[in-house]
Amino acid sequence: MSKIVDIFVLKEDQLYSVQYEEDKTDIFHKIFNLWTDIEYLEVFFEKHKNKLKQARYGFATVEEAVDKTVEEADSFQEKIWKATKTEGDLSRLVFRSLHQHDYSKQHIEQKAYGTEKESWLRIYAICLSHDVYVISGGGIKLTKSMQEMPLLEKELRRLNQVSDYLKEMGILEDGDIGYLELGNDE
Amino acid sequence: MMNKKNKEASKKLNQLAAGKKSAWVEDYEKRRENRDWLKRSQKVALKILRTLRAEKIDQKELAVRMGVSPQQVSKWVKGKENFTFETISKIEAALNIQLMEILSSTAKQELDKVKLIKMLPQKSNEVNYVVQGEEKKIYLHADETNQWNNKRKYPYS
Repeated sequence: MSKIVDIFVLKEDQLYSVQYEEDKTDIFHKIFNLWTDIEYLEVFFEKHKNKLKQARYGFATVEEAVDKTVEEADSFQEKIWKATKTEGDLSRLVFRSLHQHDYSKQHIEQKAYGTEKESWLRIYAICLSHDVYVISGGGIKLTKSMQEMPLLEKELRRLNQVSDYLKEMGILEDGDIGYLELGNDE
Repeated sequence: MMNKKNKEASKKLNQLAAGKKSAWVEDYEKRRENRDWLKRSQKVALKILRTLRAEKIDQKELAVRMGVSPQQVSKWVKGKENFTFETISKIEAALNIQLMEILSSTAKQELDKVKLIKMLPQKSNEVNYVVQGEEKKIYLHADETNQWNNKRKYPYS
């Protein structure tokens, strides 16, 4: 697992993103670079194209999936950008809480069922206290099981890593963490 | 209002970040300004990539055909390049594809100005929209699956 080497501000006092040793930018910046990189997306969806037809989103082709992701990434960024430019809390960005003791596969799988209107882009963050967040990672949730589990496991490892890092830095105390998923759904 | 706990957490995080802003902010603000042409660049990139895959041509081969560096091709297919007409024409010739088309029919021109205000075809096939301030209505024709897909182009009347 790549070490955390730095932390950056997205919105002062409220929203931050860590940087991992293997990356050139903070993780939030990296994720949106990937979600707007057509070459990366074409390879990603070509690799998973058999799952696209079974996905709950109703998109069958690689082209449609790339188009959808780019559009979603655009509106998701706009929403976050506006939130960072205006006063007020960021709770409207939160899609759901991942409760600390609810990480059994079964539970995550159950919670993953969604509607066709749901966005498939997710950002993961730690909530330090009310309305103070540190972003740890993100990913494309393609299906409710096959694709999602490896992604979620990786993201849970990263959430734990960021939580350990914040404890090491004396920012986080035991027992006061919350894991969150940020999404683009209305 | 920030409570004491929030203030403490934020203060420590601000100290750790030492004022460093995520480069995403500046990057996204540039993307916002260039959104319209970037969308076209992305479409071009995807068409190139799908053609290369279908024809089993790699990026290096395209670079050789066009007399440019592989790094240049790699830049094009990310969808962030502001292409010139010259480059577009050369890619079209090298891959025997069409990347640009001027759609001049009245219907297309009108639809480009359309802002959809209500689109609930999962409940009905009626679509309301506005063209230059005037509210209009069309009826989409369902296909054989009878399942709505908002990426598909449906015939309408």
